[in-house]
Amino acid sequence: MTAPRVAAAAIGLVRAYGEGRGAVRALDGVTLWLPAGRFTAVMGPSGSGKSTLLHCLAGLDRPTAGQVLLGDTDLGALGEAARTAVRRDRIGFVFQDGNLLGHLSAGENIDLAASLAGRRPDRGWRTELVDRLGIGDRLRHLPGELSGGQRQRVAVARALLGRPEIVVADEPTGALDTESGRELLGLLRGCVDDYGQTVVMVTHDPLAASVSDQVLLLRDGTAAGRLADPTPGTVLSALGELGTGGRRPAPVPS
Amino acid sequence: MRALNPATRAAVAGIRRNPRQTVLTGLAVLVATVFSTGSVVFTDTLREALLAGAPDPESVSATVASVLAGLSVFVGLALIAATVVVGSTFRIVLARRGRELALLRCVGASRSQVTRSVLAEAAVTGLVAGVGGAVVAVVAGHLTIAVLQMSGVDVPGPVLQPAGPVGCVLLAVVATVVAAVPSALAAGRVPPVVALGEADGAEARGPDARRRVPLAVMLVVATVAVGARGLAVPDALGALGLVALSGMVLFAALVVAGPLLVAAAATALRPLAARSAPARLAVANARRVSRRTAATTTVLALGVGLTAALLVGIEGASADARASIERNYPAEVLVLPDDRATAPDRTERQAVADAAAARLAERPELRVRTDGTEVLVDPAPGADPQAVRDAVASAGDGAGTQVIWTAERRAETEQVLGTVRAVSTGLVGVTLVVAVLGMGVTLALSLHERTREIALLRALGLTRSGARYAVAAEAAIAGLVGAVPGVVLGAGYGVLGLLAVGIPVPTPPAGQLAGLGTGIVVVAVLAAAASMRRVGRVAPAHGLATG
Ligand SMILES: Nc1ncnc2c1ncn2[C@@H]1O[C@H](COP(=O)(O)OP(=O)(O)O)[C@@H](O)[C@H]1O
Ligand SMILES: [Mg+2]
Repeated sequence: MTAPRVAAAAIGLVRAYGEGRGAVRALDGVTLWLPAGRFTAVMGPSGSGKSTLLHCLAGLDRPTAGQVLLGDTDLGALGEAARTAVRRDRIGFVFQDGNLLGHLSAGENIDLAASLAGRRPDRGWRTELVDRLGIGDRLRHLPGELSGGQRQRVAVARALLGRPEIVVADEPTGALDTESGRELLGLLRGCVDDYGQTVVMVTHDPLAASVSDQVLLLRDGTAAGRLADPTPGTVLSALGELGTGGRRPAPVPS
Repeated sequence: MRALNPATRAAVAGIRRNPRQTVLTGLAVLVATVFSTGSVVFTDTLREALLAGAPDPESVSATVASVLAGLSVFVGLALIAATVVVGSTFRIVLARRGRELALLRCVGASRSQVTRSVLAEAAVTGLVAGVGGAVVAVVAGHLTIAVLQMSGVDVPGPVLQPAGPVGCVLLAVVATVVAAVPSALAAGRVPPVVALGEADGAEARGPDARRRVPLAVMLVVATVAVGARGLAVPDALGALGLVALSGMVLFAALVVAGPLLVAAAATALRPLAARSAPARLAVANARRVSRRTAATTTVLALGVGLTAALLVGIEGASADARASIERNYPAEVLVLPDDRATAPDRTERQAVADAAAARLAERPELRVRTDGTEVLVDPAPGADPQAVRDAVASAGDGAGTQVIWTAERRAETEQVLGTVRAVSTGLVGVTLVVAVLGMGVTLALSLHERTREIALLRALGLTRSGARYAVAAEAAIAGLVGAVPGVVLGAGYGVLGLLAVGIPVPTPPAGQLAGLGTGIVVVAVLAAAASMRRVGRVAPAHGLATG
């Protein structure tokens, strides 16, 4: 692995909730980076700050201290409107199940970000994505008429359509059965390999994590290691070393 | 559709896919529009009828204008009530959609795009409700007139000028959009992270006492100031106007303080509910969603208050009218020289009166006094009424005299008072209907939101009837919190109104007021019937099934 470009990075990232004695540091000085065109998985015990990290990387949340860089942009320094534009134009989202607009068809959901920006989506790219994800015959259906796996594939198409700098996924297979989950991971892997897409995914499933190029480990809001070219076995033992107790982050001494 | 931003498109598509919710949301506006369009159609028809009867265009348009002005006060009240109710339903509907709104923000919708989508949804809802209301009013107007004509009443045909109903529909759209503005702004502020997390408790926050108390206090001070000024003004109409204005300011104060009052009332009711789990649930729920409970209960207080003020006002006016009859008609029967007969000068009139008095005095059934040229006749104690009638008829009639029965005057006055009571109850009743509907709709939407929680409670052992009882109790609490201040404040404003126009204040019609209060609580529970049926049908397994 020759040193690739950095798509996004966190530098001394702190995110604290609440003030004074009750304050909780969900992230307590995390430094890490996401190589461009690679698949990164984020793992750690429950409450270790995975979701918070993802929110900060995706411009959904503002750091209390430290920096979040997307390319050359410091997301923490941006105002609300600018962060909205960043999310729309430079980031793709895949959530757990249920995050399509229920009243729009699958096709309309895919075009959502483009039409919010008042742009026409790139037709050729859209057709290729839809074909590759195997949802060409489902575009006119409402999300309620699709299976969970199909909904997630629609979400992946929506995330990739704008050729975002990173695709952010929070437990994307969490609500799927094993088979659909494996399929979805394969599709994400394919997007990384064939389109050079950068993907960062939070998961607690060692099997899912083993699909990635590197696993970043979190514990109590701090970076606790990195695992290159993971396999289910190495992921499991790394998690074992972390301790799966799910200890809550200690309150900030005031 | 293509040109709309996707947020708006999703909102509009939502209306198409879930028309029931749109109808529920717009129901209050629909009722208000039926009323406003009905009023417009009525005055248009009235104008034509008057022009056909007495073609003096100027006096006709003056009459019609004053009728319209009177009606528009009540239309305005109904619209205000509808706006508050619809504002509340929008808040509920959007709270439920928190995740979808957040998702839009995640994938790059700006705040203003989300806000605009909600306003567009409100405009469509207002349009649907407005057109529905206008159609109902026009059809009902035509039907009413057709029925009246068929049953032989001489009424003119209905007149339909498009301008009126179109204006009413526009008014409905404006009212709905205005009602949705706070929710639309709040929707724009939904943080995008909500789309990823589980928590979205948009409504969970309690009322902000620090902001509400000072504002409410200011409004109450204004209420008192305007009311006091009203009582000091000599001109009766101006005084009444100021008292009414003071009432509206007080309503605004209630709207502001409402959530705090509901929370306080729920706390006060807690000991009463301590013994029954469903009752405790009801109190806790009323308290938890105190803002939405308050929105409907303040409107209810407005409707109940108007009605109570009306009851007191009419009681005062009736007592005044009766008293003036007793003053002007000091006996049961008045026999007067007939002005129309030949009784030109005073001595001749006196002679006619004296003659009549003498004839009447011969009858044992009658007691006769004279007061100038008026002969005052009362029945003798224990006399048979029919004998009294005969006696007066045979001795008093003819010979250039005119007989006036006080009982007939009383009956005429009572008839006028009855008509006034019926018409004004009808006009005020619309606000009450809007308020009760609002309560029913709010409860239905709230419960829909709580389905999972109810299922869980059922799974944990809450009985079906217990669940229904909790809903009924919640409705009763809301009814009570609306009815009590409504009756008290409304009766107070009835008294103020009477003082303003200089009519003596009667003893308040306590029975009617109590009946009003109880009736409202009962109706509130009835309005919850649909919700009770639904909550009874929630399967205990529901909470465990779908995510
Ligand atoms: N909105 C919030 N307010 C307060 N504390 C929060 C909030 N979000 C997360 N936390 C706390 O921050 C810590 C990390 O949370 P999170 O990032 O969701 O962990 P993970 O996704 O790894 O389970 C937890 O202790 C959680 O309780
Ligand atoms: Mg998480």
